[in-house]
Amino acid sequence: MTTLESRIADYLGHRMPAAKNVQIDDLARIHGGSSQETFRFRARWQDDRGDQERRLILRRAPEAGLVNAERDLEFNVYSALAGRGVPVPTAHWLELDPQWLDRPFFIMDLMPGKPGHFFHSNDPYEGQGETVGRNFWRHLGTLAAQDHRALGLTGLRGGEADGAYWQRELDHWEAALDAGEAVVEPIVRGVIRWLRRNPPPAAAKPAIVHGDYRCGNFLFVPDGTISAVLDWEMCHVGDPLEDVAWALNPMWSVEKHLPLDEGLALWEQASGLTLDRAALDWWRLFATVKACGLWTTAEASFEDGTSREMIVALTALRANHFHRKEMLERMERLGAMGSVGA
Amino acid sequence: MKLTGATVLEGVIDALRDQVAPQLNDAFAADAARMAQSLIAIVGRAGDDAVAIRVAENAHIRELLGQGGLAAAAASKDPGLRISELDAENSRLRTLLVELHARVELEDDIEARELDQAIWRALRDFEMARAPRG
Repeated sequence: MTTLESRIADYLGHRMPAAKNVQIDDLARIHGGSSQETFRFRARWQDDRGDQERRLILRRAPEAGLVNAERDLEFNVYSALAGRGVPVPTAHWLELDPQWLDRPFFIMDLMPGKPGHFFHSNDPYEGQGETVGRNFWRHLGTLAAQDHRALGLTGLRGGEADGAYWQRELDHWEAALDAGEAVVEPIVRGVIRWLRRNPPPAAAKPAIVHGDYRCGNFLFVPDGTISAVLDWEMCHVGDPLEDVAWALNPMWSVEKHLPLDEGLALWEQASGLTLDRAALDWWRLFATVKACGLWTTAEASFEDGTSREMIVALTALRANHFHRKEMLERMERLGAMGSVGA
Repeated sequence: MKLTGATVLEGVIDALRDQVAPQLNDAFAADAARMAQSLIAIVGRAGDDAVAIRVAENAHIRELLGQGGLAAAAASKDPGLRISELDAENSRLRTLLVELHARVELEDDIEARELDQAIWRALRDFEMARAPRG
């Protein structure tokens, strides 16, 4: 038994005093979001009901990563959304005391299914793209329909705000760029100024925004059912169009698998909201700024040595360029470069 | 024939793909090896024209700064041909370009509008020249 396995077993024994002979095996690190360390494992023990076995996931805070998540954020969101129509794993224990595994962590159920890989395949959903697409939009609409106050999620960023969500988010990501950029990117700064000069309409309602709702951050099973929406580290309260725009980013867009109009109609049906296409265009440009803020944070963490994950360096190099290029294409369509093709 | 850095790195990529990755049974480690191949390819292929790209970009920014009335910045020179020297100068020039761009986009005359558009076109050219290869 490795050190980590025995330490997890000690922790489970601590949280389940009635459990005897807790054993951990099949422990493996997996990619599960780039900011948290994620491990899957099997736990076995005996209690007064006999032999027990459960497949679980451990999410441990990293020393640094793409996102500096609040330690209890994901756990609180998983707990609040249980039974609300958005598939999420059952979260069992949150531990902030570093004595157990050096850094804060939480443990939740391992859900069936697998994530799609948009980098590796044009068919990340193995022939079920259309069904996955329908479920994708329905779940996102269901999330937008939730009342974060009723769910006790006012502690999320923006949870107590009263509007101007676009400004809060733009400020947030501009601050991330200020903190992480080694060399200023005039493209990104120019887009931020354009977004400020041309604000979107007010949000239809304050919504729980997943923050990174895309291929790779949910699990699907062979019939196209989405078994779990994961990776809520960037969850906050804001304009529901933020998630819609992020989901449509061409790097991972579900539009390749289900026509946009059909997807957005499903979202409207599930959310009870009418989608403003002009406002969505603003949020799609915003999504490129958010992406560059995210990749720049990653770049800074690799540069200063606090992260040595290959995926962090790779996204910093490839994805930053991809999204700046998308910014330029959008700004060109908005007339920023004069006549097209100049 | 002299073995170049680029050829050495291509060899490292081949070794990671053909010799190392097939021996890795752990999926996380295999992913890391695959991504390391991609990183080496991107960095290796950026070496040959790295100086040329930076010298051209700095010259183009100075030209734009000159059109915006920043004569001293327009007349400045690259301090050397090391990447670190060119990048430091590029950082200084980009900061001035952001300030100029923010100013001209608020001015309501044809000259300012043309400079605003010229800056956007230059930014597009810079980005494409620096596109990761690999």
